Amino acid sequence: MKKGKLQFLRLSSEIFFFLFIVASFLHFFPQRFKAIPVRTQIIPLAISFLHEEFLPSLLLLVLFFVITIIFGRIYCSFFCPLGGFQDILIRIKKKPNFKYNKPLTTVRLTILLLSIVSAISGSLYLFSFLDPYSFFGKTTNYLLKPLIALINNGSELILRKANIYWLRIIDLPTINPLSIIPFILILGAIIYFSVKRGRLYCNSICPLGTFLGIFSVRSLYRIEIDKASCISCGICESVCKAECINSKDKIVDNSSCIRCFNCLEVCPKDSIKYKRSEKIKSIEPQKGKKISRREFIYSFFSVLTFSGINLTLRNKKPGDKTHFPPPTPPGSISLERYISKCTSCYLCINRCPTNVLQPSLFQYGLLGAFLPQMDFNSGYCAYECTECLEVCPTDAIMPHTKEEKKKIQVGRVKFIKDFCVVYKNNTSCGACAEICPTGAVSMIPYKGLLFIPSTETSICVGCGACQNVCPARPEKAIIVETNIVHKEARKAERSKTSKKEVKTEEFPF
Amino acid sequence: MDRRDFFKKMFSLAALAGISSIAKPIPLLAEEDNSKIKKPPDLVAVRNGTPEGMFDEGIKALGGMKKFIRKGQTVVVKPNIAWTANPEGAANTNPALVKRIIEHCFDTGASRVYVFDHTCDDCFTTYRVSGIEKAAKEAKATVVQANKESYYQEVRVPGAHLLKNVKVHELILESDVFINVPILKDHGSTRMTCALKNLMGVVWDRSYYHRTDLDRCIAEFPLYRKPDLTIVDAYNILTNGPQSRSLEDVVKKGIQLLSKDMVALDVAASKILGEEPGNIKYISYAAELGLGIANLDELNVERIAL
Repeated sequence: MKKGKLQFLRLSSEIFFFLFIVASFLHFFPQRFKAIPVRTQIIPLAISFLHEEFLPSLLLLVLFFVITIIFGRIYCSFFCPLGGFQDILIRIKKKPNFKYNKPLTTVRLTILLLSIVSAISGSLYLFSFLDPYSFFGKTTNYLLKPLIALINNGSELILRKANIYWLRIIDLPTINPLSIIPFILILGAIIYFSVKRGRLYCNSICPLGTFLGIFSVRSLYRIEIDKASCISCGICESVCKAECINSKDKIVDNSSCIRCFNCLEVCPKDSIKYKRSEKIKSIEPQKGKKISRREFIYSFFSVLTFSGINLTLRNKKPGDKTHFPPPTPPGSISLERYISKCTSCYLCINRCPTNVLQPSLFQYGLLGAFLPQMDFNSGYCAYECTECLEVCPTDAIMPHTKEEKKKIQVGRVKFIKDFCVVYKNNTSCGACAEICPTGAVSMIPYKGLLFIPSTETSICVGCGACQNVCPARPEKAIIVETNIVHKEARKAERSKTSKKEVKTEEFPF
Repeated sequence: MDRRDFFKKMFSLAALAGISSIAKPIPLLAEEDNSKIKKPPDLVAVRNGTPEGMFDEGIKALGGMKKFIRKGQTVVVKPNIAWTANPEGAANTNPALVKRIIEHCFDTGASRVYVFDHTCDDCFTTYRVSGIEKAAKEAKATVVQANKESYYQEVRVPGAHLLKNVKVHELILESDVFINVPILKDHGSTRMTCALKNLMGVVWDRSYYHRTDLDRCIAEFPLYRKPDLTIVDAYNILTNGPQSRSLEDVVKKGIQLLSKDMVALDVAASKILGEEPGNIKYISYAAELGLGIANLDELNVERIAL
């Protein structure tokens, strides 16, 4: 293959996945294929496979593994949306002047180990910030979406004034200052790294980059410098955003190389090539790659301490009898399973048409920090909707058919009469019964012409519609109590028609 | 003018007066016809037809759409599209009726016709599932979303005690003609939803209604603006509403009511539903506020059976 074509292939693939992942977050992607772009991401695939033994995930994973063994870290430059995001930032720099830097082997291996330890101990909170896809999801939610929403809503307003109703208003995400502090810190690091040091994030922090790098070192196809023809001009080194080309010693660090192929374009002597390596056995150990004893001890103890903290936290489960955490989305089966599978990519939050899904803080405990929660103050779960179940890339929210989903009970309704408008003010209300999709809340005769809510918890699905619309303030008169482990709601029996039949042969007035 | 001219004119005037006084008794023979021309019905009730056919007849009896719309005016049609339910579920206004109303609007020369509802379920879903979006677009109307606060503007409601200020959809403020197209349904707490209650779909903060006094707020809203025409869809009615949970709750009545008077419509509608108008508090509140006449005997009701 010609070198220009390789570069073209990489760029188009990167742009394609970047745009389509953003599009699927923002509802611009066709409904039928909306879950496809996010299903190309390695860490969600791995989580989905490890927990559910989902065969398509396994096949894709094997495919990615084979690709990595043959071609190296193709994922980082072809599929990774965060890579695409960094490449946009890197392009801000007019003339690239990168310099070779030794890989931060200890740092990146330690982070990889910590992530694996946290995953084993039943929480993915490290992945939620370090998995490039999940972090990109958050970036979309907190940064790209508000930007696009502002442009869209501004244009909508202008068009509307001209009586053109083509655009829909996009909701701005609710931003909790506490939950975005870690996000802003990492985003700041990524932006700083990209502008100053290219893909440093990928080669020092990203656990997936480190993992793929292990196989990339000895991949079948590698970037290599022909020592005979190379004149050490350093042009390739200056365009290498992974900072992995040492033009002086004519060595390429293939564990850090993200296969962006920028170097192939610029070499005046055609000495740097992406080709099948002939001397597989005679790889010389690269200088300075050995981990010193001190580094090893630091790394070892940080992993050990971290494991200890994780295990302690794990035994402190949230959800005691007095305080309920908010319900987890339907299809997540139980709180424990949800915490062990969700990487907080916030795709569900972005797709949720009623905005009931919102980022949490520590409602699910420290191990479940920042996971999406069902927040009935901002919305309620639409009975007929299965959006979050369809899109979840890690299967933290398991796919269910619409009929199955309608039977999932994420919580049960609880009516508190003392707060109810009907009881307090003696005026009619019935907002809760009106909106209840199952009939779990209904109105029964109270006094005079008034009717008051009555509940039937066994048929309740815990959608929170009643809690959301209840007008009582400051305390709501009807709430949902969470099922830590989801249950099955009984099918509602049809309530009897109470009205008198009126014959239609005549007008009744 | 000279004297002769003056007398000439006087005589001819007198003669004209004489002729007209002689001619007057003739139409007396057909008194009914005359009163119809002079006094169009206050309320038209049609039965035994399709929703579209009943509307064609009903609006003709009211004197045609030209009574309500002048050339070049903008019209807002407000059906009930609150719930995710297909047309058979009878939770939302019949889409065929909405379409026919829009067609009449354009035939009369309306410049633009808008359709919206502040829905209870997600609006894009209800617009689609109800069939109203498709029907309205086929008739070239503009379907507008109403589920965001930025569409609403605060207005003062003159004479209101509880609903002094209310955020209303901007199209209600801007449009020349306002047509209310409720579907008649049973309602868990107010007992019935029809003409007056359908107007909750043009305001932003329904929670205020529920918190304050639902019946009074419903009754006070028309103090701000009354629809120029209300068409009650009682073709299929829901006897256990307002949501459509089972097709067994749907009863075919095959009736349509048309009037400017929402109070009279709601009284007539309650009888179709089999409910005592006295049990529906907002009707009597609205009548007390002078928003309409609750005693149907005082009104000229035209009943048409197709």
